[in-house]
Amino acid sequence: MWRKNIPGNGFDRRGVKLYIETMKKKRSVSTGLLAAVALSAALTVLTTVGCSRKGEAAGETGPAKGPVTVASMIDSEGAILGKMLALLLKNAGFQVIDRTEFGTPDILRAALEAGEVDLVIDYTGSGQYYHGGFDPAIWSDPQGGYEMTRRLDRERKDLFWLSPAEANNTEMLAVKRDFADAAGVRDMGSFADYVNGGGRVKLICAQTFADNSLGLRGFEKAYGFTLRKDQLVLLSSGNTAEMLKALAEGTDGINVSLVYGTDGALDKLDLLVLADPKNVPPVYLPTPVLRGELARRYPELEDLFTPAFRGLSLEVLQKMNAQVAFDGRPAEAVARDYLTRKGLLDR
Amino acid sequence: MTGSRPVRRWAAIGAAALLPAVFLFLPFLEVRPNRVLAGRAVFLFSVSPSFFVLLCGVALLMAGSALSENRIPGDKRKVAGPSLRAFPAPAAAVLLAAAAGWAGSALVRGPGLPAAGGPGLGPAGRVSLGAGFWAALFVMYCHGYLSFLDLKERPLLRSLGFWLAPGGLVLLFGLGVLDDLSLVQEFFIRRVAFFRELRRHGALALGATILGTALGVPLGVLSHRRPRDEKILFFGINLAQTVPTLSLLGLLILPLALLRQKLPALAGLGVGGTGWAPALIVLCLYALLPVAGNTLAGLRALDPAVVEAARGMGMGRSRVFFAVELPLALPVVLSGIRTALTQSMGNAILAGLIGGGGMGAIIFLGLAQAASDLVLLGALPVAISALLADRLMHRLEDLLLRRGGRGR
Repeated sequence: MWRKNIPGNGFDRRGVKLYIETMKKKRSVSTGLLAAVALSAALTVLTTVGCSRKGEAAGETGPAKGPVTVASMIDSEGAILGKMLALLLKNAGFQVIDRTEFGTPDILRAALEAGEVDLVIDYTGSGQYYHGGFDPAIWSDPQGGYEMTRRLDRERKDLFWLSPAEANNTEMLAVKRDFADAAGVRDMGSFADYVNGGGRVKLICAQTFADNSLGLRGFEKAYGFTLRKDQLVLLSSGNTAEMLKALAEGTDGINVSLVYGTDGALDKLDLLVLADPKNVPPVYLPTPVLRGELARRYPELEDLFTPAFRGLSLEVLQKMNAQVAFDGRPAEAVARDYLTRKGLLDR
Repeated sequence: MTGSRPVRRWAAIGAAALLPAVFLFLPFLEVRPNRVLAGRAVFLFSVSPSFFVLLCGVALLMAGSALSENRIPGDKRKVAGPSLRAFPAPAAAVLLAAAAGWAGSALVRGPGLPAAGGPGLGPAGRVSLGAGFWAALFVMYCHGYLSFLDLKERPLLRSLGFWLAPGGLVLLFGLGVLDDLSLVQEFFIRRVAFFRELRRHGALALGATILGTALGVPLGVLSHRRPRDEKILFFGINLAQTVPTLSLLGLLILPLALLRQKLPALAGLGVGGTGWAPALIVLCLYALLPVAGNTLAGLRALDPAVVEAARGMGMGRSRVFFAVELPLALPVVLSGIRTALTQSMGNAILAGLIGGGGMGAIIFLGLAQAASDLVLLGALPVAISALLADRLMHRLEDLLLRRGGRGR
């Protein structure tokens, strides 16, 4: 299209000559443009860096210990617990770089191992993914699983697992209460009976849960039932918010969903969690995990979070998660409320 | 280019005529028990009959403005529609937002709205924009777009009409009319984070485009100069393009983390396997293809006679390049940069997954909480800024080409 504007396209030499004469006068424009591009490239890199540095320095208040980079997963619980750590650190006079709502679980772990963040929230049962080759049963024992993960991470990765919360944020199956009443389903045992009796089931869960011998396959084996492929809706992410939304709204006839123990939905939606007396899935206790380097430099960090995490029961976490996910309260306000109630903040 | 005038006009009229149907058959708002669960559909006429009538009136006005024509006395030829054509669609959009805000407030606070089911909206209750709202907005956008095509010769009216919509929105927002809409509430909850992430998003997209330009243009020139190397260069550039963005981010974690450990100075800048650095690198790699590809195409399409003549006049190699080749190829190069910028604006979302911030942080949090209005809060600015970036680049192209352009 623009080619037709070239004067003397082809043989009109006079036109070309004239054109080139003009171009000679105007060549400064394109050189200027090039210089401008180079200059702005340099500027942008500087501002990008500046921006991120400014953001990091935002938490500074006076002469402080640290800095400690706090990071957590992108979900309600990650936000609340991450803000809780940040608040306690600031309260204890630490300089905090707040990277809560940092990324997906694998990215968070990678960043911690690479030393790009110092303190994260992780779950004891995740040890099974970080350190393979152990008897899976160990992860189903609250104390044993915690000790195992703690020992392995300390020896192999120089990461310190601090005191865990009481709440077990484990995987469970949930149904709507009216469905439970109609189908006579109370726990995993009666659910197995319902499935084996030909009851209509559509389960929504994460792909990893469905494939895991400590997940759905473990349930099937322990309680003696099998779900067909067409009875499953599998999601790639392990985030239950969408699953519980689908369960609550009955999307696609879904009537069973994966749920985590501390899900805010359990506080807000009228759901029945199917009790699992055989404790099939691993125990997942939310725990602050600290890089060894910082644990050695600031030994006081080891016990800083203990009083706060000791009171984190299933109900307390469910309520706090619900406030963030369902009521839309800022995570920091929810965390601050909790810490203030426990008398753990001085200012 | 975009159809003849009569076709355009009838399309504009049709769009306007669609509006009442949209309000009649699609739910205007959705009243939800909380920000996660789906709720009850609410139609505009049941919450606010007056706004329904008003908006239908505006639809008539829109149709009328598209139909009307000016004739210059004594000249048989029709000329573009009256200046009024610039205003109905943007005004309608502002009115639409006002209707949503007002109806939302009525639903949240109003004591009795029998048709809508009355009160009973708990403290966590939300009013979200429904399909009807978005469909109406889309119809108005189409109408406005078609009408603006006829106003090419009236730049002042065009910008007046164009700025009416955002200006009116800001005014409504400032007056607090929109405060009870779920989208606005999500904004209030994260006001600080919103602007911080918006800034980061812009810096990432812009930085990647500029870096991509700084690297892509020389690469394009190089492959033009040495056709033999072109294959290898473009193999590399295309390879970066074919690796899925997300896995590229994953692949970068290890090498960048190592780099950080080797060079502590970089760690001070926040460079690492996560954060802004890998995001910037990936976005920059993606920007390479449009920039380098267009540079090469622009240079190749040059008439060899022009270059030869320049040589014949005694210009040196670099002189020929800066004075002849580059200016002539500039339009194509610039449109490549525009593509890169628009694309980066959208792709920068992925930074949110690796701790790099940006609007992705808000979008992915919304997805994690199944809070659709939070997702919208993150996605709308991205879409708008991508459109704006495209417009601004068009402007820049016009500016550069008019001044430094080809000898006209």
